[in-house]
Amino acid sequence: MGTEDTNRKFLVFLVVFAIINVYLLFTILRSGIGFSPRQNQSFSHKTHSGKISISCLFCHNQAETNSYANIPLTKVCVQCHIALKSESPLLSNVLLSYDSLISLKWQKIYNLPDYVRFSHRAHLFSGIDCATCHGFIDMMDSVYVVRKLTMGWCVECHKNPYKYIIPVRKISGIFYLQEFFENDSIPIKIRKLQPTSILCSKCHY
Amino acid sequence: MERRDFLNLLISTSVVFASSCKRKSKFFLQKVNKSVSPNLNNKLQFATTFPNKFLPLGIIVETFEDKPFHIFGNENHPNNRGVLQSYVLPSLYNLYDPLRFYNPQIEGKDTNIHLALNSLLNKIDRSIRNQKDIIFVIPEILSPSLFALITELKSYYNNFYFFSSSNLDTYTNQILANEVLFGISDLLLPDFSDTDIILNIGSDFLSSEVFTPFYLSRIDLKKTKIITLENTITLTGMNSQYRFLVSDKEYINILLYLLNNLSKQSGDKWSNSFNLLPIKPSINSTQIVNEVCELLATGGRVKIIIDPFQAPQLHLLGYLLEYYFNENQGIERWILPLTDYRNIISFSFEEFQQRLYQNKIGNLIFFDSNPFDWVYTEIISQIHQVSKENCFVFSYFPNHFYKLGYNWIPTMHYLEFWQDYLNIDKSISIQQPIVFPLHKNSISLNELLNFVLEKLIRNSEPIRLFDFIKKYYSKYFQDDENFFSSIKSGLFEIESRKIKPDTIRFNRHNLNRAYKFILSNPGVSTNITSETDEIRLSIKLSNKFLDGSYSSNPFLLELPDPIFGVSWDDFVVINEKYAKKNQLSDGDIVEITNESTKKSVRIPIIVNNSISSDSSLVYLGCGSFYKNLILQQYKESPLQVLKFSCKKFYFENRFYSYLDLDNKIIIRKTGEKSTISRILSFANISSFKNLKQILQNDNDKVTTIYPKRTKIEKWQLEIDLDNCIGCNICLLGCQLENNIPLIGREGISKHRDMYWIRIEKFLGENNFRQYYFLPIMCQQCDYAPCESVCPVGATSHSDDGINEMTYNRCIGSRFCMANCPYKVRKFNFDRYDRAKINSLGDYKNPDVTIRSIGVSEKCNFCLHRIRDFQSKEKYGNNVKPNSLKTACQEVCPTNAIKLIRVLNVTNDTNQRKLLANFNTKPNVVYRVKIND
Repeated sequence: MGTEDTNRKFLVFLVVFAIINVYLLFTILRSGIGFSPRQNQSFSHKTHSGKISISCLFCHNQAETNSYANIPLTKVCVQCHIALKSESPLLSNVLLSYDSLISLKWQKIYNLPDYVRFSHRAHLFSGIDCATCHGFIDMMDSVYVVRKLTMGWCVECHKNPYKYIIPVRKISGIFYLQEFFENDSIPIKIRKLQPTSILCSKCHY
Repeated sequence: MERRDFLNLLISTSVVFASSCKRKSKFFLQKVNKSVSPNLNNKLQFATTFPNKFLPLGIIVETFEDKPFHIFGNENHPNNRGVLQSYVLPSLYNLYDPLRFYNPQIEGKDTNIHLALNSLLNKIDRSIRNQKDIIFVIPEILSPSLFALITELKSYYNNFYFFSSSNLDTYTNQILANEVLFGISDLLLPDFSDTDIILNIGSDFLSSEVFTPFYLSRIDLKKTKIITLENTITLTGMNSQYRFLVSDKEYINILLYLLNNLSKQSGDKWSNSFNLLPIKPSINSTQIVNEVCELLATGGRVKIIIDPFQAPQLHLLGYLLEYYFNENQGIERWILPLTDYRNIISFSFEEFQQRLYQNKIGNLIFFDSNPFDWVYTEIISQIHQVSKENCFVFSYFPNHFYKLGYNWIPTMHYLEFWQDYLNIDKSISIQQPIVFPLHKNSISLNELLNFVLEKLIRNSEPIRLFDFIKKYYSKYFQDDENFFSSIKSGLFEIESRKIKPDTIRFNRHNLNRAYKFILSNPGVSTNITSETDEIRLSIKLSNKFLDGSYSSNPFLLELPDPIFGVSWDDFVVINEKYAKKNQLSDGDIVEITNESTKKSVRIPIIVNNSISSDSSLVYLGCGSFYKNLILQQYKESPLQVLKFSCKKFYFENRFYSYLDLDNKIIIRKTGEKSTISRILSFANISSFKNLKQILQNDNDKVTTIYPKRTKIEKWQLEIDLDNCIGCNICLLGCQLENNIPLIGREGISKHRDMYWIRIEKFLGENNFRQYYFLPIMCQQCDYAPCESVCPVGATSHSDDGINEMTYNRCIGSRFCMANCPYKVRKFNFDRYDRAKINSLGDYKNPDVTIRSIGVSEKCNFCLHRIRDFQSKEKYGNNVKPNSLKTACQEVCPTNAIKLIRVLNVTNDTNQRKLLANFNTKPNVVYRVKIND
């Protein structure tokens, strides 16, 4: 009798312990803030973007033409690094990848769920700076997540854009698109951001 | 507590409890390890080639993160001009298929590719020393670099034999006819681009031949009349203006009689030569000939196409008739040059048989060809006599050899290696690899022959395949840049390209010779008894699997047959009268026995009245080994009862032989019944009256409670019923684009099919069109009945007239499905990546959501493409207005479907809408010529 009782107590303890542990694990995993996986290839945004002031769209060029913002091809790295610091051991992986035609393996940091449509192009052209969602990446050595990309956050911003939107910075490279805005008759800096549609079918279809 | 935290708690609790339960494994097949490295968020397009036997097809493969996910036709390719067959589209799945064979086995033991190839090399070396034959059986390829390799191998050792005969030498008989009449053994293809009348004898050129993409890319269905004589029902027959049901035994008599009739009318030199044989066709066919004569007399350019399985004399008669109609100007054909290669590769089954019987075989090597699919039962027993150590099988999937324990080496997918193909206009198609080989132990044919050549003969290391191709073509290019830019387009232009088909002329002497050949042939019988009890099994190439070589794809297995609506199951079609007489009905399992071989097989039947009374129909690709692996039940292939024989005859000092397909069968009722998994809309045929009733002109004066749509600009789908041939490829294109799950045989028999499009069939008028095909997808009604009943507001109307679904909101109440008058919403019983057919998660369209179980889904005019197009247009990218296509429009071979942006609503009498009297204001417009 006594052993059965302790057994049951132990079992209950085990289950509760497991639930708490898994709960904590999930809370950490699902919030995602601060998520910064180790990349196979070391790359510092602080150096490239902060110090040398290469704009975001120089490498992530598809953001302005596509809904996806691409991770640049190895070719893009090699364009400069074929001449610059090509002997550096940090670059051996990149040059190897360029020669062997096998692309570098990068870990994705910002992940949107499969059922959400998000167009980088549409947001860039509305004059929203990269930092609004991604934080000041030009100050990060290794990129980490600064925002929970939840629906609540998206909807909040669509309702009250003033609260969240960061004015366009030069480093983003969105000024390349200025020509477009000039034709639009309202200059980008004083363009008023209106609350936009929050219909479900805008993003979910 | 926040909602998110609550969810976390809920999930963690359920995870703990779920982990303590025992779960039966749903997946019975292992997963492929993903060795493709992710090229993050990059979408790229590559022009490459699909190896479609003798007609390579130009395709463009789109990749996302280094994974190919989308195939569409290359419009600049001369062979197909963007037209594809249904087996091309899902061929990507085979890349990730877990059933793929990936470990070489030598004498029953697993090894790696190097050891396996070395052991093959030793065996070949020994055979050469003993002066024995080395036989390679390779797929049907017209590749110049491959031929160069083979020539080199043969020049080194004479007893290397190469046979190109993957499944059936379908074209043997046509080639024989060409030899007799023109003295060339090339394949000749008619060009239907400016033809007024096509006389079609039993062929299914609109849907299920190797050269179908070629024919379809050139034919104009609105201008061309098709007259079909056939013994079974085919899509071509259903799409012709005139269709005559005759026994295939009578084809030759009808054509001879027709030729006689015509020559009598013309009265000149023709009558002298063609009145030699007193032909008495049955009364029925005399009428047919008279009718056909009248139709042909209406004038215009006539072209004749004949079922490739038919005897050579029929092909000859076809040429003679066409020669007559074109006023003795010769006949126009594209030439596919096989003559040059016949010395190094044999395309004949008979030669292969002779080689086997000579008992001098050192090595027998099958590359991507499975003799069990060939249906030549005599050959298989002969192959069994070759000792197993000397037989090597290179295969992509485990096939019938697998159980017998031969030496096994896996082969590559066509997106994994370099290859070149000869096109119809003498340019070269380049097949470039899109992914690195997923399994390191696989090999391609060029690589294998290169290996044998370099190691055995030159004693050096084999070079890379790319270097080999580059070296071979380097003489045609000035520099590397030129070469690489040509690869980008997928085409090499090494000679001046042909623009027009050749005109082949022949003289009186040849004509008379051909006529004598026809008469000397034992195939011609002078009298035919019309009513007999005998029944013959005729085979047709399948619309989905062609000759069976593509039957290893679950997407194709699930795709309903365009005529009978059957998916997954094997079946034999028999005539209604015969069935009534023997008290047979749909789904009865019968035992079919071949009279001469006494082989028998059990199979369910389908009863149909548009098949001649002495014929029964079976499609190639039935009983595939692959399907049996998936369904985990072994069924015998109905093709086993077929017997192919070579008929020989003596003509002008030479023996000729041709393939004969006379398969008399006995059908015996077993009393058992089976359910055939059919998709119902494909099985039922309605009358023409019904079509008139349901397609009506739109009524504008409607009072409605729905809100008025103020914005006039909207999207419409325009469907041209005069062009739709009912080939079902749109279903497949839609399925692959929108990640629609496969649901397996069980699901289909419970009517849970998930295709967003269904095609209804309607009988047409005889001199107008035999059948009409009506593709029905979501009509995107302006006043949509489904929107008003959704309890959670999951389906809503967009500004530009599209009925949108928010899948995340849907709770699966199915009210919308009940309230839809068109019944186009489908309930999701299975999540795409967890569906019965596994490993689909590796192969999906990244642009489209994967819906969860229990939501209602439907066509949305490929909304992701529309939105992408709109956004590109809005933000200043240069986009062509024609570049926006829905998935079904992209794959439609006859351009029957068109997505249009409507700015002004116009009233066109040809424009009809489905069930317009319901006042739903549909946005799918049907164009059809009907006289009310």
